[in-house]
Amino acid sequence: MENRRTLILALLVLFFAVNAFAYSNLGPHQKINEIAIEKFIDKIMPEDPYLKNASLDGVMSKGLAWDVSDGRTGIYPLEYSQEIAIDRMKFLKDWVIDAGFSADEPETPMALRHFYDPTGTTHYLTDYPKIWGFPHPEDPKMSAVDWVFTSTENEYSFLNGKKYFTHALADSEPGNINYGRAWRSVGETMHLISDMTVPAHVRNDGHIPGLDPDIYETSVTSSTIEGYMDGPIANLNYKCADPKGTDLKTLMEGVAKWTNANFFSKDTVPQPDSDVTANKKEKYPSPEITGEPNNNGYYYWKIDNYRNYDDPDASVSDKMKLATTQVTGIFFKKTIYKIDKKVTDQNREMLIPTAIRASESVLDAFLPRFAVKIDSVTVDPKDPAKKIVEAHIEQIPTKEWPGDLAIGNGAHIVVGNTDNMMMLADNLDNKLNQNRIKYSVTAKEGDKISVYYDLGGYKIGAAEQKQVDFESMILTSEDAPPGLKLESDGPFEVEHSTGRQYLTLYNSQMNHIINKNGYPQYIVPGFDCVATNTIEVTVFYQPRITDGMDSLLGMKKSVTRTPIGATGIDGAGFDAIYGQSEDNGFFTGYQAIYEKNGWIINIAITAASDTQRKEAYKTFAARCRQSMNKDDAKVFEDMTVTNIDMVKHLAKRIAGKIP
Amino acid sequence: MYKMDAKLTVILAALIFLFAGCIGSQKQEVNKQSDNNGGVNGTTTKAVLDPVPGEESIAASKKLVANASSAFISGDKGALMPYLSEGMKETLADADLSTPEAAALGKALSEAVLTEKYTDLMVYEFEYKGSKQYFYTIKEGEEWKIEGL
Repeated sequence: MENRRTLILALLVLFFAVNAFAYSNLGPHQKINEIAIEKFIDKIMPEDPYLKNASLDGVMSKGLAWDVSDGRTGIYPLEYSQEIAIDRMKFLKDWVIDAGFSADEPETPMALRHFYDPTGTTHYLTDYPKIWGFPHPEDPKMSAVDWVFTSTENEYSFLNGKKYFTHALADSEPGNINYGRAWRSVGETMHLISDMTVPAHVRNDGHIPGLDPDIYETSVTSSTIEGYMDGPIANLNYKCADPKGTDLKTLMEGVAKWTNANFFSKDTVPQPDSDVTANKKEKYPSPEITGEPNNNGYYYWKIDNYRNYDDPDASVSDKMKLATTQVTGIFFKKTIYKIDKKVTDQNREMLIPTAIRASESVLDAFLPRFAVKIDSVTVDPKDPAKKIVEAHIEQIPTKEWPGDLAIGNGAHIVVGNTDNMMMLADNLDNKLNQNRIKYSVTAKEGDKISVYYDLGGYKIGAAEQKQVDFESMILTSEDAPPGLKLESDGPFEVEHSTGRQYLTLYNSQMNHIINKNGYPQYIVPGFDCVATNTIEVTVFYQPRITDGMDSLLGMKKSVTRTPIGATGIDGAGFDAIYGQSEDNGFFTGYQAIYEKNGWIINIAITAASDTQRKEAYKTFAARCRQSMNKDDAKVFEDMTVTNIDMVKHLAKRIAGKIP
Repeated sequence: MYKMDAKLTVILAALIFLFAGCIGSQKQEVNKQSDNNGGVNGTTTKAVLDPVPGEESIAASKKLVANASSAFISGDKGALMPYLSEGMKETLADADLSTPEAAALGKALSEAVLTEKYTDLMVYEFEYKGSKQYFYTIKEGEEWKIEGL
């Protein structure tokens, strides 16, 4: 007799090895995780101020995997979970999706830990299949919520996932093994929270596919998940990132309570005149079968957010099929309630979307929020072909991550199309972490510089790019000297390849007089109105070349340069000023070179000489007076701006824009 | 009795041996091995999702329904019981099947159509007294049984 009992026990252990789970881990759980990620990316990330510049498609990371291709490990004890681990490199999404499978491995111990009854004082599974009649030998007395949030045995709990991620961030190795562990923890937590939408798992209804299968979960495939992914969801607070919002544990318990209170599992359908259900447990207070069935033989139950589009009866437009009756009740002349295919089909309309939405919240809660900012881009004084990029990553507090995460890897500086992965050892700012970075990178004018962090596939980019060029320094209409205007209001194009901007200034007053009545009134013989009216300006924006100043300036040996002194543009902050003027009595080519913060600004103008312009203005003023136009005459008489004044003015404007 | 226990002991020993053997061999195969295939282009090798029942399972399930139908028609409860799940056995333990209703149900079951197929569960639809009804066959061990009728 003892032997017989032992044999039965051994057989049951073997039988129980056969995937005793909620949604099958061979398809549905992976599909839920996959869809949850995609929905998270499509809907939640763009709306989140700190995720809209992030993505989940960064680098692969190491980790320990046990995938579908590795096979099921039903009969192994919990301790074996550390053995079923293969070193792999995967993308973040793959880690999360595949964890939909691994959460159920090894199967026997996991099956006992994926139940949570929110109503009782004992939340773990106590209902073992009736063909057993006694608890499983292991009987861990562990609920799914405890397994996820408090258990020290669960290698991939949410709790451990956060520890792994903390270690992964602090490590100097990009894509290190703790990233994979963290993402697997996220995926396995998704699996567990999805299980809370399986009625049997929140109504203490033990079952064993292959021996005593649950009809709801057994009939859910990955295709079913896809087919029902967009339905209404339980009325719960899913926002788990807000420091003042709900936390993930509360959400998981909330999902379980909602499922428990609104759906039957096969063996927890209450029967008339009985306080116990088919599994010999006390019946749950909710949902209740009340009144008479509808004409189609089904009882209905109202669930918030649900709209019934299947049943034409308007009286059930906000209700879901809850139960029907067994035809075999005719043999006893009594009613026997059951759930059937039509009931479970409608149940899926909310249970599956809720599983997906709650899984999205796992990611939402797990991902710390960061903001990446480029602080400055300056020329490397040691190497003119390089730029010093300074940036930092700032952690934004969330419910799960209040702050102070140290980041030792993942910093990238992108120059043009070249992505530079920056190693901690090269950080010029400090060697402890990459929370604040300072690196020298090769960059030329016109190259756009951006910074992002790839934290094991979780990429966070800076909202803005900086450009290693004169884009931010170029002159615009607002920069014209008094009395002069730029030829247009922009936009002003620059030649990035040469660092050159061409502009034309003109005397608008003179232009006005010339065209006042539709014909030139004050044409003065002997003066070229175009020449005296316009000033061609060329501005060169060039990075400083420490040892090559003279060659850059070029004209040092060939022309006489006149130092015009820093006082000429007080407050502009230029380091050195050189000026060169060549006056042939009619035209002036004037050039001034300024230096500040590693930039050389070379302003050259071609215009009438000061003498010529002064003479022209005087003549124009006289003609105005002859025409009794005193106002215009006064304007010309007041025009005393010189070429060097104009250059100084432009230089000062540029100086204020130099980063 | 002694012979029976001895036989059971042998079977048990064989099972334990088999059980232990499985673990031992698996351990050697899977213990922290690095995996080249899994790392190709950063994607893991995905297994075929959603396993489907084999033709044998489908045939066995259909045969079960046909047999149950015959048992209902003949009113033979003893013949019917092995075709029922543990839950259904309890439900119908006191049922009197020697009635016209049982025969009518058996007749309706003979027209039942298999509508959905899963590895451990098949869904059948049939018409009874003018309305559509659904029941399942589920796998209890190696055998298919009727559930939810």
